Amino acid sequence: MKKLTLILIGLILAAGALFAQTVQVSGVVTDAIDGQPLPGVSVVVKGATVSTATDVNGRYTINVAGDATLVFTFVGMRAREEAVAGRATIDVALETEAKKLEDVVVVGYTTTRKGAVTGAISTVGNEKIGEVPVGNLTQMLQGQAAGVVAITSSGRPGAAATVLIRGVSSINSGSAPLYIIDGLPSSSVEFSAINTNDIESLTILKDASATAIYGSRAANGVILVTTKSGAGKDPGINYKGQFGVSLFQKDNFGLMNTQEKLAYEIAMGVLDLSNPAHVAQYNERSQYDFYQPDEMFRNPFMQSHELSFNSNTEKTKTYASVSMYRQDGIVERSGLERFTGRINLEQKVNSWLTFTTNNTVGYETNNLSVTADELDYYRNNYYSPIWSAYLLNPYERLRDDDGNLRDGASPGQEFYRWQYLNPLKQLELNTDVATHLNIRTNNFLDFKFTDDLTLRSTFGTNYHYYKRARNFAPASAWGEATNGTLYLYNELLNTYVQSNVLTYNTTFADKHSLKAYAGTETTGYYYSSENTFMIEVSHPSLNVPDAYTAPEGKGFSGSKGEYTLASFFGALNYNYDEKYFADITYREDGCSRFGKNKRWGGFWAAGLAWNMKNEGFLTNVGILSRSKLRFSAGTQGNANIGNYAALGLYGFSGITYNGIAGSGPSSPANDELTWERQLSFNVGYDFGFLDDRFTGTVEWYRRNTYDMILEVPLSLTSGFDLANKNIGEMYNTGIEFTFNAEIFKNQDWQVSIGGNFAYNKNEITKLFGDLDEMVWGDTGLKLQVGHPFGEFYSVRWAGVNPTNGDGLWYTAVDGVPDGGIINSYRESDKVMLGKSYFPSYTAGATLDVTWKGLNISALFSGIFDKYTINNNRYFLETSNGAWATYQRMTTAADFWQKPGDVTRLPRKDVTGIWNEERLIEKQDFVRLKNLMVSYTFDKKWLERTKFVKGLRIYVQGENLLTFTGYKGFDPEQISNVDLGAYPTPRIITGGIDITF
Amino acid sequence: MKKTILYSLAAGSILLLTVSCEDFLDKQPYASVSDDIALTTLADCETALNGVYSSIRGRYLPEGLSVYDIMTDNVVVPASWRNTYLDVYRYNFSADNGVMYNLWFNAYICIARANNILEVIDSKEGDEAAKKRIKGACLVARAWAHFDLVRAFAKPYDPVTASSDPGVPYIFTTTLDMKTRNTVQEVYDYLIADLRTVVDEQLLTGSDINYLTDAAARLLLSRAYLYVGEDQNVIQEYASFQALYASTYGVETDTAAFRKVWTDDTGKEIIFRIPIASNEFLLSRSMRNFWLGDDQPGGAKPEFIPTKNGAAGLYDLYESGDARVKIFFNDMETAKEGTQTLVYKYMGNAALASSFNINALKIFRYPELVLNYAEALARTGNSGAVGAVNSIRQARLATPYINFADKNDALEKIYLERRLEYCFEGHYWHDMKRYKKGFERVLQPGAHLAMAALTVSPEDIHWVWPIPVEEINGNTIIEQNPDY
Repeated sequence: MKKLTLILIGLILAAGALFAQTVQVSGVVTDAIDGQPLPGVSVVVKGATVSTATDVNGRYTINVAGDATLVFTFVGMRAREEAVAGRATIDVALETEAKKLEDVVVVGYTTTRKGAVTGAISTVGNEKIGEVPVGNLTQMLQGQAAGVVAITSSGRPGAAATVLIRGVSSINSGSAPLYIIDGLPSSSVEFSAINTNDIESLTILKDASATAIYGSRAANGVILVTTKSGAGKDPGINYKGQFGVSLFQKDNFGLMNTQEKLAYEIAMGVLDLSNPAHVAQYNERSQYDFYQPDEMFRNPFMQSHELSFNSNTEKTKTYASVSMYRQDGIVERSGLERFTGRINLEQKVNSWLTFTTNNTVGYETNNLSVTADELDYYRNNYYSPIWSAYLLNPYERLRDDDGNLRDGASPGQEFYRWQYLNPLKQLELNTDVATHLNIRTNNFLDFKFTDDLTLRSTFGTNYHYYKRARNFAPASAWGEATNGTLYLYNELLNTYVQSNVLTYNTTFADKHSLKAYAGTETTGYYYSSENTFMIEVSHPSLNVPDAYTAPEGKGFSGSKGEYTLASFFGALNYNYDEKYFADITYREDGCSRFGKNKRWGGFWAAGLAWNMKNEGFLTNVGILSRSKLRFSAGTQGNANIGNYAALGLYGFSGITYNGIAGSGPSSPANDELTWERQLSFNVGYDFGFLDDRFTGTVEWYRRNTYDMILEVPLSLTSGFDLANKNIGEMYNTGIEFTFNAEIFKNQDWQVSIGGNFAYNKNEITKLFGDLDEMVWGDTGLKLQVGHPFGEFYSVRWAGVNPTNGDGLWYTAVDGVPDGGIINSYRESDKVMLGKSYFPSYTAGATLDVTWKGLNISALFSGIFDKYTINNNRYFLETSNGAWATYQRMTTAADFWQKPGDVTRLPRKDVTGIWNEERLIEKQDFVRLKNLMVSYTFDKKWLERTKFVKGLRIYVQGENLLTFTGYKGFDPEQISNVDLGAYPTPRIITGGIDITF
Repeated sequence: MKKTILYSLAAGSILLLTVSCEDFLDKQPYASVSDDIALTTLADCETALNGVYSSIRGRYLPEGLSVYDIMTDNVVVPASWRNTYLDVYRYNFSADNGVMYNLWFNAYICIARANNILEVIDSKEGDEAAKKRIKGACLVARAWAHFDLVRAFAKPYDPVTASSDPGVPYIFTTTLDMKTRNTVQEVYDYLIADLRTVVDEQLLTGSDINYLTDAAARLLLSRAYLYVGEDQNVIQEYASFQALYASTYGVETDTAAFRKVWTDDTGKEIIFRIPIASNEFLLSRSMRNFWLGDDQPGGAKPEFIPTKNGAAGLYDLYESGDARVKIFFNDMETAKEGTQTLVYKYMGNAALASSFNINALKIFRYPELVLNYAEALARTGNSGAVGAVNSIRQARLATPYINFADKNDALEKIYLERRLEYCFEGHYWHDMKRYKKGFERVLQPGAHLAMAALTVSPEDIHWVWPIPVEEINGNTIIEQNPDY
């Protein structure tokens, strides 16, 4: 018995000794997805300093104590721990990390792990960016992130979207966010020549803590874009191609057909069947019935091709691409064609210096051809092709029986001359072409003094050349009076930035981790423009300035301007044991736009986060995989005013007498004009369940804008009407909710859904001095304390008097309804309507289903509680008899004709007003923004081809479905007035993505 | 070595920044000059004077003259009217109407520009005659602008109440401060004083009708004296004017020459006109297009047509042989109402680029001096009034009056002659206001059935224009006119 015990003890001891001995362990580390070996994986002995890394074949060898634990880590992969337990060979397959927490994001001038961020940020994945066919990057942000509204008010290819992050926080100083591309501040104009496939990541910074380091111009949020580099990718060549078609989406007006229109004309007294001439017209017109938008618009093709190359050696990482993008618009002769080239190079010069250069050239041609568009003034001119599609009567023929365009839409029409000519034929005669040439270089020098201390020096500049030539031919209606007109615009925009950021990382006392950085930045922005105008062309086929002859018809103008910014900033990011995080930032900026005495402004921010999951009491709660509470507060600035807004100036433009130049004071000085500021607070909670299969974020925020720069009315007796002063106050507050849920996942299947929802409330709290309200010019809006910015102010419609067909409006005294009704429209009856043209609610939803290589994904986006003045309906409906000879909506036929009629519209002589309440319509909508079906070929299968490394094919549709009650062209618009907006098309494309 | 690089980089960038920082942030515009250097030399003041003139043009073009006739029974709206100037025509306007804003703001811009020059002109080095001319023109411009303001925005001059009736702020120096209104009496006193300075010190000696002259100052003085009822001064001014300028200005007795006043912008009747140079065509909306709207084929599209109803319309008041009928009016084919008699006073000067149909605007014409004189004579019971009126009537081929029955008859006939001579030149409304008359528009063939007719009583509040809401918003101490 004793012997057994001794043997047992001996064995145990021996076993223990075995365990305690140093053992050589080796093995191979592979990627769990495809079994490929992973080089560079860090293999560390837990609790010890021994470590090694896997070689190029994924193999490692390490000497450890037999009872040790090995930890395998690699970026982007979930770390694995393996107890050695005496084993000599340990092979590990690493799984991709649930991407959401450990993503590296660019925040401020450095990169940070998303898990360490204390602020509110959203990222848009680059796979989403690259494939959506958009002419302008801003078009595809809608629905992607909570609280971000990105609406293009025009469906013209390349039209930039209006982007609002968490509501609108300024009245005069611009509401666009700050765009930073590779460290260089950029404007949305420059996006028009950027290849969207070159984008690696797009991050949206929303609150004070995240935006703090850009504090001086970040009051509206910041969108950070970084372009691709060769790093982190397998070397190879990639081709992406896409072909597709744009389709006109039918409007919601409900236009009349010929029968209805002729009946309406008779009822209006415009067509009189007792007159034989009219009877002949009636008979001729009854033969034709067109839905004119179908006749006017077309369904053109689009295509895009991109070839990119990346390579990766120890010292050099390269990414290069060339691309071509071509998208024609649904309006005749509108379209865009773009060529870009890029080369991004990162070169490790030696052990302490790396040099990176990102360069791109883009050339874009926009065919504009006189459309009703934000670039054009002819919105409601009859010959604007969009507008005439809705004004042409259904019996008017644009084409003859052979399909050729006729000269006139309706010869013999004796009403307005304007209805005679064929708008499409007019379009053919005139040209309007804009070209953009964008040249951009961003360069970085990264100095590594020690492992902890680095310096990044940046120099970037962007040159954007813009030219536009508009030519009205003498044979066209617009060129007739002047015998040919030529407008030429030339513009150069140049932005440059130089910054230096010193970063220091350290860990002390084991659990305290600190990152500090400090830096300087100088930015400048310069523009110059020259414009020419001339008339009287010597021969109709020519369209260069030399061909225009009228000496007194030549006009020239041009100008230059610039502004500069200089900044100093510093930040500290601290965390204790990955549990408690604290950030503090301070930035001091000076801007040339402000008054001499008040150029400089200081902006600070502080953020705290508590990673509750890492606390002892939660670590073992399996269900809750993530729980982080964040709080931030800070100030941001806004300098989006005119370049010389603080100066007292004399101007010369437009001031001449008897042909000789004159001068006059153009603006009063304000030496005290300074930064518009915002104080904001954000509370957020990030959570995840079941191993991050369900994750979500809830945020609450409040942004108080103060020192808001408003154009304050002066006494006109001074010779000035307005002066810029820091005087107003406004706030935005709201909540955001984002979630992602992986509903089902197994070997073959994965189903996930996601969504975001945001509510924003805006209110003006102070205007100027004693003034609590101000009517905003002729826009239909009024600024009033206690009301949101963008609220409509109009006379309310009370219906039709059935006895005599009078139009009735509600009366008001001093903006307050007094219960009365009157039969004439008076400006004094205007009241605030409680409706604003900025939305209160925005939402997005995504659905993603994958089965083996097949993937179906859908993105819905919705906007609610938003209104606009539907000016189109004024012309098509409420103008009543005044426009009876043009096309109408079917509801226009419901007008009062005899006593006792109960109708929608009054007597035919009662014309509406363009901005009255009847026309202020809800523009809520839900749209299926994108639906994509794709198939990714299995890598194992592709290996057999020997040269194809990746292959994906897909079909997608943009704007396939829209649900809205809005009676207009398109509810996706953000403006106080909708008139003749270029409709947003449906776009269906198919594409291929192949890597060699 | 690395540390050295680090330190020198840091030091270098900080040094670079601090040295060039303030310069780097000090940016001056490229298209304007800072107001502290804008009026440095005499040449700068000449340029600024062009700015003063430019603002006068801004006050009158395109509707600065015409709007005063839209508010009278000189016009009705046609059936095809598209509601242009709706509230003004219907006497329904309130403080947010653009017409009031345009006059108020353009006038004060002119005043501010003039004052900026007046503040510095005496200290400039250069030709003394030029300095006097600039100073004279600025004083006339300032007085004239205030005159236009007070006669629109205040009650007509009444010697009993003028020293308490609110007028308009009279501005002598430019500041950004809010201003209260001077009384009607003060405004007229100041503007007459400004004009007297120009005339008595002989500041203006030129005779170019494109610019303000001594003759123009005297005409304004004659008008001002008439408005304040200083009839002896009106008579005195007439006599002085004759003594100085009888050979330069006068009434055109030759009808062909009179027509040229309107077609060619030339003639001895013109005392001041606003020229339109080739690089200003685009700034100046054509008055022909305003009154006739015939720039596109298919017939004229006037927004307003002269009253002609066989009884008391403007057109009906001319004798059939009156030379003015064929010069001021023309029967033309309209797009929607058939043939109509339309306003032809601004038919366009062929020499000024026919495609634009532009005229130089004749602002001051000699016959007004005669009519002011006639009215002053009539008010003082002087029998010379009939002769003065007849000098105009004879020139215009209208039957001269034998005699006036009494003072009232004289005033009525002079009032009528002013209307016949100065229709569509912005005088009639002011005369109606001075004479405290109301009017009635009636329907006529081609007029808008619902909107053309209107009766306006002399007590209507709209005879005194509301101060624009933009002024009230920026000026909390100014007093708005009652009932607005």
